[in-house]
Amino acid sequence: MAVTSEVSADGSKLTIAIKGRFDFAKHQEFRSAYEELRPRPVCVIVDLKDATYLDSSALGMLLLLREHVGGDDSDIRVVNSSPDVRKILGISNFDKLFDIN
Amino acid sequence: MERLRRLQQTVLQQRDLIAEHNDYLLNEQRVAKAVFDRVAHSGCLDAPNIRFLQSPYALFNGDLLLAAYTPAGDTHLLLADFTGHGLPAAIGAMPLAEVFYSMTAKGYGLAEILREMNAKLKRILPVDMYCCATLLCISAQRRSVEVWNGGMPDGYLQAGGKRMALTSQHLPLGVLRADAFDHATQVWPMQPGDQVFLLTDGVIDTCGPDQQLFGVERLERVLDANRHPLQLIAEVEQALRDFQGQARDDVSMVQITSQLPQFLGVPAIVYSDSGLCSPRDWSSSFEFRASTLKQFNPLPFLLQLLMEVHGLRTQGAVIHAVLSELYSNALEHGVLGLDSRLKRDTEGFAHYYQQRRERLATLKSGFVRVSLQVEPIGESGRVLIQVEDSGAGFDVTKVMARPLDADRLSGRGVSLVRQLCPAARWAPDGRSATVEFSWGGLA
Repeated sequence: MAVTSEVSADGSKLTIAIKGRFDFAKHQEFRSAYEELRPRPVCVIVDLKDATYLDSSALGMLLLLREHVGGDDSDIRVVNSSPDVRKILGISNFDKLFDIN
Repeated sequence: MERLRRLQQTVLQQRDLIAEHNDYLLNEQRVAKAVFDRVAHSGCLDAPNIRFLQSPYALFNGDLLLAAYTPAGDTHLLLADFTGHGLPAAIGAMPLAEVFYSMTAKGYGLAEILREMNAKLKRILPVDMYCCATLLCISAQRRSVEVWNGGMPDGYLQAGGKRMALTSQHLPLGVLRADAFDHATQVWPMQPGDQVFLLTDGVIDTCGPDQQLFGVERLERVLDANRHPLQLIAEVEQALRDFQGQARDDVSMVQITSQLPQFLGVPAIVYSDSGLCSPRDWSSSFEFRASTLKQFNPLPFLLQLLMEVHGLRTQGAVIHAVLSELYSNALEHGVLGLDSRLKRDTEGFAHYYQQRRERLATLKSGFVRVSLQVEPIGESGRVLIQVEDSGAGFDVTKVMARPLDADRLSGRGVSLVRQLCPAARWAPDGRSATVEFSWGGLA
C-alpha cells in the first residue's frame, strides 16, 4: 500500500503515511484514509518519511484534508519530510497553513 | 465465430466513438483558446522590452502570462501557474486576466489587484485548486520594481551587474480567505536597462533521462554563463533540450527590461460616452485620514473623477503619474515621515519600504488632502490639483535647487513631477504642492 493510515485508540489522532511519489495517482487512496472516519480526528499527522516527491496536486490534497478537519482550526502536522520535499513545501509557503517539521 | 464478429464490431464502434470524442475535445480546446487569446493578449506582451517563451497550448497546462501598462506608464507583469492540467487548469485564467487588465487600466496598485485576484479565485476554485503567481510592477520612472511572489520558483532581478533572487514569500493565490491574505510586496531598485527573468516550475522540474530534475543549480549555471541578456531565454531553452533531449510543453519563461521613455500619453481606458456631458466647472476637496490611508488607495477614484472632464483625457497618463507621485510623497514623506535619502542603495531601498509598511500599520493620526478645481475658460479650461499633508514639510528652496538628476534613486518624486509638469509649485513650508493642467489650446 502506498498510503497507509492508523487511528489512535480514542479516534482523535489519525496518522497517514505516504510511500513513493505523492501525486495525483494517490488521490483516491489519500482521501479514503480520512473521509469516512467517525468521529472526525482532531489531529492529523501526515508522515512523509517514505515520500520521494510531491507535486502541486499533492499540495491540493493537503488543502482538501485541511478543509475536512476544520480549516483554519485544523491541527495537521506534516512530519519527516526530506529536504527536497521540504523545499517544495517551502516555495509554496505551506508552513503558514501546516505545522511542518 | 459469431462472438468474434461481435467483438470486432464493438471494437470498431468504440474506436469511432473515441475518435469522435477526441475531435470534439480538440474543437472545444480550439474555441476556448480563441476566446481566451482575445482576453489574454489584449495587453502589451509584444512590447519590444518583453521577451517570452510559451507553448501555444500553455493555457491548458495552467500557465498564464499577462502584461499591461498602467495609466502612469509603469508595466504590470503576471506569470501564473494553476494547479493541474487541461480545462480545469484553464478555467481560472479568464477571471484572473479580467481582474489584471481592468484594474491595471484603472490605476490600481499591486496590493489591490492581488487582493481582488485572491478573493475571486478563492470564491470560484475548489479547495484543492490554487494558482501560484508572481506579479511585478516595473517603473522605469521611479527606477524600481515591486514584486509579489506566491508559490512560484525564484525569479531573478539582474540589476547593476548583480543578480538577486525574487523568492516566494507567500502562499499561492486562491488558498487564503480575504481576511488572512497578505498582499505585502517587496520593492527593489531597478534602473533602465536592468532585467527581470521569471519562469514556471516546468523549467526546473524538467526531467532528464535518468529521472533527474534540471533543478535550480543547472538553471543558475546558465544564468552565470549568459553574456547577452537578449539570448538568455534561448540559452535556457537550449540547456533544457541538451539535458533532456526534447522540449516540454509546460515551460514558460519571460524576461523584461526596464525601459525609458515609458509609454505615456495614450489613454488606457476606452470611453464610450457621447462627449456631451462633460463637467467643466466644479471643485471638490477630499481629506483621507489615518485609518483610510492604511488600507485604501484613493488614486483610481480620483483619476476616474478627473477623466469625466473630457478635455483632460488625452493627458490622463501624465495626470495620473503626477498625482501618484504627489500622493505618495504626501503619504510617505509627509504623513509617515520617511526619509527618501534612505533609498540610496539596495539595502536602504528595502529598509525604506519595510519602514513604510510598519509605520502605516501603526498609523494613528495624519491626513492627505486633495483639492480639485476645474474651471472653464471660454471653450478651453484647466484643472488645479492641490495635494496637502499633515507632515512636517520640507525645505523647498533646498530641494528645488537640486538638478533634475535622472539617475538618482532617492528623491525621485519631486524631480519627476517637475519634469512632467513644469508648472508645479510647492508652498514655502513644503506641506502642499499644486499642479495645473489645461485643455483646449491653453498652454
